[in-house]
Amino acid sequence: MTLLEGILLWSSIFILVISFLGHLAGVIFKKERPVYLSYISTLVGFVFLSGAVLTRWISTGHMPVMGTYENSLFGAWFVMLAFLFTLRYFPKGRILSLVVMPATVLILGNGIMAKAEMAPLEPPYQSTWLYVHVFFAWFAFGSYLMATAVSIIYLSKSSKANSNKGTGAVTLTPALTRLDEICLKFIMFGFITDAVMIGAGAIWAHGLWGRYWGWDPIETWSLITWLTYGINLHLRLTLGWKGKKASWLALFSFLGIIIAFFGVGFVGDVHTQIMKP
Amino acid sequence: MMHRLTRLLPSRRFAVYLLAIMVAFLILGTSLPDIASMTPEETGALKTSRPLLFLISNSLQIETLISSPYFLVLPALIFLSTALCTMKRLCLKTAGEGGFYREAAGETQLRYEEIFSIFSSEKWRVVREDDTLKATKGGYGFHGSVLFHLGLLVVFIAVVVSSITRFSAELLLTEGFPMKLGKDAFVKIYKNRWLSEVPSSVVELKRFVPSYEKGKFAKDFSAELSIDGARKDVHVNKPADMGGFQLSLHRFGFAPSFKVTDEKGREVLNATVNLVVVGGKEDSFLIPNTPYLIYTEFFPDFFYDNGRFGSRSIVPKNPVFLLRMTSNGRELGRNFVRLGDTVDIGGLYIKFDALNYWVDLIVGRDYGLWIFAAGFGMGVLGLALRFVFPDKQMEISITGNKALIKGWTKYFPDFFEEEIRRIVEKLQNQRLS
Repeated sequence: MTLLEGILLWSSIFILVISFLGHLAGVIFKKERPVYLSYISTLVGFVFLSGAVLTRWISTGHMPVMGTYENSLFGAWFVMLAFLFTLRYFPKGRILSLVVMPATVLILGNGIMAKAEMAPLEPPYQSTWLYVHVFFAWFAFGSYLMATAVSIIYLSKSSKANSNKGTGAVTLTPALTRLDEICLKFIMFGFITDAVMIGAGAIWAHGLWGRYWGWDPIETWSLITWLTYGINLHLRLTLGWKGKKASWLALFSFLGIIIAFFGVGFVGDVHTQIMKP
Repeated sequence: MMHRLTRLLPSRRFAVYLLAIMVAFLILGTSLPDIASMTPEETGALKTSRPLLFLISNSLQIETLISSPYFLVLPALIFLSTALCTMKRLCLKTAGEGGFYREAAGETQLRYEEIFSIFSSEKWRVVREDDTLKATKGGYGFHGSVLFHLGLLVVFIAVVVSSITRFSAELLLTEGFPMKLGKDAFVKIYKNRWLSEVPSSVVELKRFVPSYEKGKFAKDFSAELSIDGARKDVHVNKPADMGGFQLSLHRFGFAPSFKVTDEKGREVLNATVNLVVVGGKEDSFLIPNTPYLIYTEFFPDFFYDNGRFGSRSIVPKNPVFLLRMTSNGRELGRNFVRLGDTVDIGGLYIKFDALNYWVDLIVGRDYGLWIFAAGFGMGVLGLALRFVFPDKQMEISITGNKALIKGWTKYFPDFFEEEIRRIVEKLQNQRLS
């Protein structure tokens, strides 16, 4: 990575950690002001992160979509975008920062530990379908992460007695019914974008390997995740699941995403295989 | 019994159970040790030390699982369940029962026409019926739901079409060696069911052109082919067509030509050997009718400096092989050989005569792809229609200066309640202004 990219990236990580601590302090000490200031620092962190993404893009000459580092960088940016987009319509969703910030820092940390060498786009990645695949993958993962964050908030809020009438930290969060619906919205959006991701990946794979589905671990886990969130939707929309059990299910469903994302680096399968000189 | 079955199959609860079982099997299939990728020694060790795990892994690993007739019952039932449920929806013309009712009331001095324009400005479709205004949004839920499920069915059909008609095989071509296609020409045939007759063309790799950046990054790989005399270029990600079959560039390697003579000058080998030495791997070849096995290591851009040696880059600017000759596992000698040079190893003279390439092409045909893509497209469109534009209705009636809004929404009642309240406030504020 370039010096500028490094400075921007580490600055964003530092700011996001500060933002998380601010939110935490706000919740613990039941104050609105640290939460508001943390929101401002989140915006600043996002600007720095965007700068890091842009610097990477310019210096490599391609969208940062190749390898664990670039995927983590771009993925973290998408997660932040999804979070800020949520706040645009839900100012009360700032509390979600308690889950989103650590997750973002974790994704970035995973990327930093990988090789960050600047390289041109390797032949297998030179496909328009790759962009569709990666864009929608991050939209889906971002939405699912937000759904998970909402579920965690829901579960912690509902575990407190008289939670809807509470004070302090509880007042910083939306009502339980609203949280439940927000979670459903994210799952719906994630499910649609996940479907596009899988479809685009299949068409890309056909051009690259001559088959659209190969049952490699990443493909299989993508399918598992999609089906699992499909079950979530079925249960919520047609069988009336809501509240705690629906939140627990959303929480467990995210395990598939974690395996699909973090598992990539540990699986030497055809999904990560490229023609190496 | 039949009656119970016809009730069970299209039920949503049954569909959820089927999906959950399928997910559980897939998780198991990817989590168990992958027997297919194990060496015979590893397989033997697992079989002896943990026979039960071996047995489970062997029968449930993903490749075995997906072709097992027992497992295929699951997708078949999901298909049947989805098809019956979709038919039921079409017959009843309902996208599932339910929805939520909410209402709010407030004072207003606005007339119907003004309320009409407020709703219109918020993208509601409004009609006036006697003393009520009926506003609707969305309204595509039914079509979306049906389209999504039809899309799923089309995807299932695509998978079946693929498994019946798909042809997939690996074809290895070495520069300068034409190959007449036929079943025996392939290194491996993965899938070949019905409808696949490979054209009996003559294919030749005329030239392989790798392109690098900064000496260490691959930029492009291109194979110039001759198919029955006509030129076709294949790049990674840009396959070529051969009579309806897709040719995808899958792998490449180096194919050096070696001339081997003994001490009396008799030629014992004059051949081009396809080696897997890309990325520093070691490969070997046997000299026919002798016990000699030659191990090779390739340095595309060789350097030698005070006993240190290696490759400066991955670009074959100064190609050198390190040859190690063995006989019955005993090393007889080793030496470096540069392109065009001859070296003496263990009493044999080996000339590195030429450096060519080999390519591994995937030859495939799959009628299911575009059906699969169409199914996915339908599914995504259906989901978007259903979820992005959820169905909502409102009925606004005015009695005196009181406005009553009764609403129904398919999803998100809490958001909807807020929306109704906001509209009521708007009606009141309009009066104030």
